[in-house]
Amino acid sequence: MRLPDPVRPIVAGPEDFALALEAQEVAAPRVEWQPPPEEVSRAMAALLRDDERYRTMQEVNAEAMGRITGAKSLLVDLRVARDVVPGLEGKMLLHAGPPLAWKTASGPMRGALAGALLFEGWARSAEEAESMLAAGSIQLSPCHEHNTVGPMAGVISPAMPVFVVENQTGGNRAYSNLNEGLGKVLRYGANDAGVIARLRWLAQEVAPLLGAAIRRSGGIDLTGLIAQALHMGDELHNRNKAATALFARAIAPFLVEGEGRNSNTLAALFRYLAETDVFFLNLSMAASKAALDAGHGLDGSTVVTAIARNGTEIGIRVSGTGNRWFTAPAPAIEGLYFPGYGPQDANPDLGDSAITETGGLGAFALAAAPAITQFIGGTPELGGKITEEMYAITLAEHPVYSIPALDYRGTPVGIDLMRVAQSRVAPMLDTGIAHREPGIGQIGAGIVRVPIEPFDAALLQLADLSLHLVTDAHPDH
Amino acid sequence: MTLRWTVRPNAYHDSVKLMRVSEDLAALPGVERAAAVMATPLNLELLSDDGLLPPGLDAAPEDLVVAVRGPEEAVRAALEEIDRLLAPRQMSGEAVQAPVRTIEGAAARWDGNLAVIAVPGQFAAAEAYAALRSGLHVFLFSDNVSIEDEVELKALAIAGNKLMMGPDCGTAIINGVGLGFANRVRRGPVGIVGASGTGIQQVTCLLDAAGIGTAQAIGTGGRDLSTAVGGSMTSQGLQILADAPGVEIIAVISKPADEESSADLRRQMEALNRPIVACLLGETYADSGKVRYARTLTNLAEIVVEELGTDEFPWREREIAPDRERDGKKVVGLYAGGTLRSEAGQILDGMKRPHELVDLGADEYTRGRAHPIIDPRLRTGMIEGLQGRNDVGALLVDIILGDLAHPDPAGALLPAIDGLGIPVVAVLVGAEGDLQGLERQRSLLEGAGVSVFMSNSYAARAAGALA
Repeated sequence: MRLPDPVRPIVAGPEDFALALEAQEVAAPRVEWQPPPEEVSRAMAALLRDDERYRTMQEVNAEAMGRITGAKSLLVDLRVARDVVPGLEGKMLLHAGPPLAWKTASGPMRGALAGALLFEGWARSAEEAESMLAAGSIQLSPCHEHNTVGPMAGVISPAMPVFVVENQTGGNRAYSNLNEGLGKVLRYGANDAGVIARLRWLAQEVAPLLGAAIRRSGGIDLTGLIAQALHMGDELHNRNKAATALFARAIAPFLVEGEGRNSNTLAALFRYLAETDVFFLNLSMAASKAALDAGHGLDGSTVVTAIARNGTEIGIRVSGTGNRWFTAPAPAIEGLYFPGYGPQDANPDLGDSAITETGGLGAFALAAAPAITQFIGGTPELGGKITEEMYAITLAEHPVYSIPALDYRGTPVGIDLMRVAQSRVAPMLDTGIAHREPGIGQIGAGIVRVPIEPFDAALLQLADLSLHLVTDAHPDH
Repeated sequence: MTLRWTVRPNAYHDSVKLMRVSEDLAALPGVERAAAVMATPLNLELLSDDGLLPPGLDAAPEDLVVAVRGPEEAVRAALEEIDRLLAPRQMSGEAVQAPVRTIEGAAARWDGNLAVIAVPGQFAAAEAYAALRSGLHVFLFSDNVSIEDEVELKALAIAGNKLMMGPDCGTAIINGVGLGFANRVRRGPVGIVGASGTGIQQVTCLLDAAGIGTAQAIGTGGRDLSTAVGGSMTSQGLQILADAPGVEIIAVISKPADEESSADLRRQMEALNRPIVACLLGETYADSGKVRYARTLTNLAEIVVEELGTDEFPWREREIAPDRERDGKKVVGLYAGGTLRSEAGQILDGMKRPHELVDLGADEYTRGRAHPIIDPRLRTGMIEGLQGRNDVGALLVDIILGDLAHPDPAGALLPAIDGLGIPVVAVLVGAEGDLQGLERQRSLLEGAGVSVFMSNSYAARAAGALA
C-alpha cells in the first residue's frame, strides 16, 4: 500500500477540519454535506459495503444506462388505442401519474375522466359519467403501466388515437395521445360539447390521415428530431415549438402524397400543426418513455425510470423495483401566473410529462431553452444552474442530446437513487400550472422540485430487495 | 422587547457551526438572546426553554431556524447579519460554482485522494464506504460507528490498498500533512502507528523537542486492537512503515488491547525484524529481538532517542519529590486527551495517590459540543466547580496545541485557575512550529504559577507529589 503523496484532502464535516488544513497550506475543499434520514444512511451503507451487491448495482446500472441512452425512438404509426395499447380492455381509462382513486382526484383529472366517458359514449352526461366513476364501475389505470404516457390529466380511452413509437435498439414500444392544442381541452378537465367534438375530429379526421402518412414515411426519427430541436431553443417539455416545426416539415410530403386526400382536411390538419406549438410534447414524451422502458426491470438497478403526477400525488418508478410506485403528495409549483391568477387558483402538479426530465430533457436541458426560463419566472442563468445541479444526481451525459450553451455537453440523464440519497438533491421539473377548477386550463408555468421522500423510500426497498437477491443466490451467505 | 425570526428551508449547518453563529448573534449590540438551530423537536424544546420559540412555527428538522430577542432595532439589525455569520470561513475554494454535495462528487471535481470525515456517527459509515468506493483513502474522525462497520470498512480498505484510519481516529500525519489534532513537527526517521490521537501527539512533540522528526503517523482509530477488529489497521500500518523509505525506527502506540490482538501484534512486530518501540499502555512486556517495550509514552520517546543515539532528553525537567509525611489529597485531572488521562492514572496508581481523572473527550461530554481540544469552556466550567471543594490537592490538565486546536488554550485556562488556591500542573503538548506559539503558551502558564511539563508522565508525577 502506498501512502497518498501529495495528500489531496476532501472534507466532509465541520469547517474547522478544512481550516486546519488550509492553515498548513493544503487546499481542503469541503463537501456541502447534509444528513439523510438515518435509515437511508443505513441503506446506502448496505449497498456500498457488500462487494457483490455493489458490483451488481454498478453492472445493472451500466446495462440500464446503455439501453436508455442507446434507444432510438422511431414514430411508426398512429392507431386506435384499443388495438395497440397492451392491457387496455373493457371499460378502462388510462390516466397520468401513479394509481388514483376517484374520491381524492383533483378537479382537472375528474373533468377529464368524465369527458372520456362522454367521448366513448359510456355516459350520456357529465353527471352520469361522474356517478359511474364514483361508483367504481370504470377501471382506472396509470398510463405508465401500459407503456403509455399522457400530458396533464393524460386520460386515454380505448377509442382515442395514439402514436406508436418503437425503440429501434431495444424493440420495445411506447404510446401517447394526440395533443388537442391550447384553450378548453380535455387534459385540463374541460368536457363540454366542444371538447368532445374536437376529440372526435382528431380521432376521425386527423388520425387516419396522419397515421397513413406516418406509415408511408417508414417512420419518423424522433430521437434525431429531439437532438436538433435542443439546438434550436427547445427543451421538449414546456417548449416544443422547433420540434413541432421540424415534425411538420418531415411529415408534410407524406401527408400530401396520400390517396383520397381532401385539400380542406389537409389544410385543417396543417393548420392544426401550425397552431399547436405544444404538438410535439406528446411525441417527446413517448420517445422518452420508449427509452426509459428499455432500461426498466433490471433487478438491483437504482435508475429512476419514471416520474409522474396525477394531480393529487407524485410518483416514481425505478428500474430495480418493477411495478412498484413510490409516492408523495404532489407539490405546489413555484412560477409565473398569467394575469388574474395566483397560487390560490393552482392545481397541484399534474401529468406524465416529467418523463421528459427523467429522460434528460425538460428542466434537465433548461440551459438549452433561454426563452423558457423567462417564461417560468427565472433568468437564463437559472436554466444553467438547474441543469448543472442535475448532473450531480445522474449517471450519464446523453450521447445524443446536447446543449450548445454548455459547449455541447450531453444532457444529464439517468437519475440515480444513490446520488439523490447522498446529495439530498431531488430532480427539478419545469411544468405548466393548471387551474384547480376543471376546464379553465393553463394559468401559468414554473419549476417544481420533486419531493425527496419517494426516492428515499425506493432506496430502502431496493436495499431490502437486493439483500434477498444475494442471499437467495448463495444460501450459505 | 420583540422576538423576530427567520426560517431557512433545507439549509443544513453542523451543530458546531450553529453554536458559533448563536454566540455571535447574541454578542451583537443590544441583543438579549439569540439562537440558530436545526428545527429538530429537541432543539425546538430548547428554544422554548429560552423563550425563543417562534409562535406557530412551521419548520421541519431539515430547516434552519434563527430566532433573536431584544429591542426592535437591535433585533432587526441582528437578523441582517445572518448571511455573513453563516458564510463559510474558508478563504480558498471557487467563488460561485454549483456546490458539491457528495464525497464522490468532490473527489471528482478536485481530484481528491483522501477523505476527512467528521460527520455525526450514525451517518459516518455510509460516507466512509462511499469514499472507499470512490478510490479515496479515509481519515475517519467520527466515532459511534458500529464495530461491524469498522471491521467491514477496514477489510474493504485493505482490499483496495487504501488507508482506513478510524473510526474514532483523532490524529494522523501523512507525508507532512497533519490530519485532525496534529502538531507541526519536523519530518524525520520515526514512523508511528497508533490507536491513540493524543498519544501520537505526545510522542511526536517530545521527539520534535529532542530534534527528532516524524516520517509518518498512521492513526488506526481507538478500537483497532479489539478482538473483533483484530488490529487489522495496526498490522497494515506496520507493514507500510516497514516498507516506507526514510523510516529508520517504528513506534507503536496502543491503548489497552484485547489479549488476542495484543499477542498477534507482538508476534507481528517481532517477525518484522526492524527496530520497533512499542507502548502498549497498561501492559508490560520483556524486550524481544529488535522490539523494545515502553511503559509510558515518555519512556517510548526515551527509547527512540537511545536507539537513534542522539542523547537529548529535553523532557527530563525538574522532578518534584513527593512529601511522604503528608497524607496526599486527591489529584483532580481534567484531560482533553483520553490516552493522556489513562497514562496519568497509571502513574498515580503507581504512586498510590488518590485521583479523580476525567476524559473530557469521552462521548458523554462531547454530545452537542465541540471537542475539548477545540473548545475549552467545558473544562474551565468544571475548574470553577472545584472552588468549593476541600478534598482536592492538585489540578492536572493537558494543554494541547496544533492546527485544529483552540487558538489560545493557555490564555483560556488562566481566568479559571485564578484564585483556585491549589497547585496546578499542566502537560503542554505542542511543537515549536505550532501556530499558538509553544514558548508563549508556556510563559503564559508559568506566569500564572502553573507547573509546566512537556511530558505527561512527569506532569502526573508532579501532581501526585504536590497534592
